[in-house]
Amino acid sequence: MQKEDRHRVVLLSSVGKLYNKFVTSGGLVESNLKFLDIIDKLKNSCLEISKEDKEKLDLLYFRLKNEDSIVCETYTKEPLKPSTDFGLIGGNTDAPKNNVIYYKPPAPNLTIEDIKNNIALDGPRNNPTHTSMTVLRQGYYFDTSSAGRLIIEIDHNVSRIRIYNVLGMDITNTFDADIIKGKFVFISNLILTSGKLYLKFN
Amino acid sequence: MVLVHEAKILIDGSLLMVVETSQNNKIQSLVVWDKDDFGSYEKSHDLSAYLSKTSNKESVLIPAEENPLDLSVDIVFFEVVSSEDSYNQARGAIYSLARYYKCMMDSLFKEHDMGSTSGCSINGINTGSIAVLIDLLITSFEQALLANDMEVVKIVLSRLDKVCKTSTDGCGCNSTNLTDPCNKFKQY
Repeated sequence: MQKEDRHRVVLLSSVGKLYNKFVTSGGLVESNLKFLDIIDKLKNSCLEISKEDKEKLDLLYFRLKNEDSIVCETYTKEPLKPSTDFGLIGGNTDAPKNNVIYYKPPAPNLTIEDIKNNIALDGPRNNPTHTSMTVLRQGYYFDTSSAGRLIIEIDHNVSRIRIYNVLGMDITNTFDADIIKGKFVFISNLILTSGKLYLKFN
Repeated sequence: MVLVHEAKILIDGSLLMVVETSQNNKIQSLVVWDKDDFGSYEKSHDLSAYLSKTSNKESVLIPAEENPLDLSVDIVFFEVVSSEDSYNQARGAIYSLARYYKCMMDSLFKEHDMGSTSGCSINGINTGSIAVLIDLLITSFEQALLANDMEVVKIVLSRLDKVCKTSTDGCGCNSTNLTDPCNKFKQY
């Protein structure tokens, strides 16, 4: 795709907080957001945290939260139409304040080609009912540009899942053993992967 | 319908169950399973003798010395059956993930050079991903529990255990069990 043909789309993180930091390098994306989320969970857990560790958590939270916010950008062939045909990017009600494009969940008639050609999805989600899963039910494509994790709910009749890279190479085996048949597929070591992947359900 | 108000392992190892069924019915049986025996009635522990069976509400306290459950693990299961004609069964689990939260916290400190208290790291794996991985597994565990998929629950717990035990110092893996005050229950 030529640069002039591109249309800028801003990908907000999977959870969509304002204090995201994405560092992109060859498609590899890391996010402080995940760590902020983990700190929140630790603080809200029943875990007995020592005063010393609590101070560390607070300090770390402050550091992560106040680093420069950089949103992740991608480009599509066609301009996306907010609140119409194409999928949700982000999900943050604060998004308009942050000049982030906000889309409603994908329309039921979304096709694989629509996804491939027109949209880059923010793959990993905290919430398994989020966009990526919905789309995956219809197509099997997602973009791990903000990779962190992916949990997909699948039908009982799905017995196998294969993962392909953009070149069509079967890279299922590179995803360790975190693929579970049944109600859930969870692919944890997407954490350090990048680029586009295709999922095929059998 | 059977509603479990409380299912808890107390610090001393006692088992507390507070359950209720609809008016004019009684709780008829209470069965518990150790982690690996769930679903097999042959391997279950029948605690029905502790039920009063006098009303639709039961508060049962099984003293530690009479509690048959192995509390050195992360999860145990229970089943309560009432005298109702339908929807007369409630199943659930009592679990504690405290040690995994501890492991997650130590990994987080290590990754961000916060002076980890126990130096949790795994050879060959980026320590930053360990915290995220543990978080993922905890989420997966809770979702599988909600979905009543005990096979996935066990698999996820096994992986959590593996992740923490693989760490160079076994961080957070020997600090707690089901008697941890953080244990909680889920009815499904």
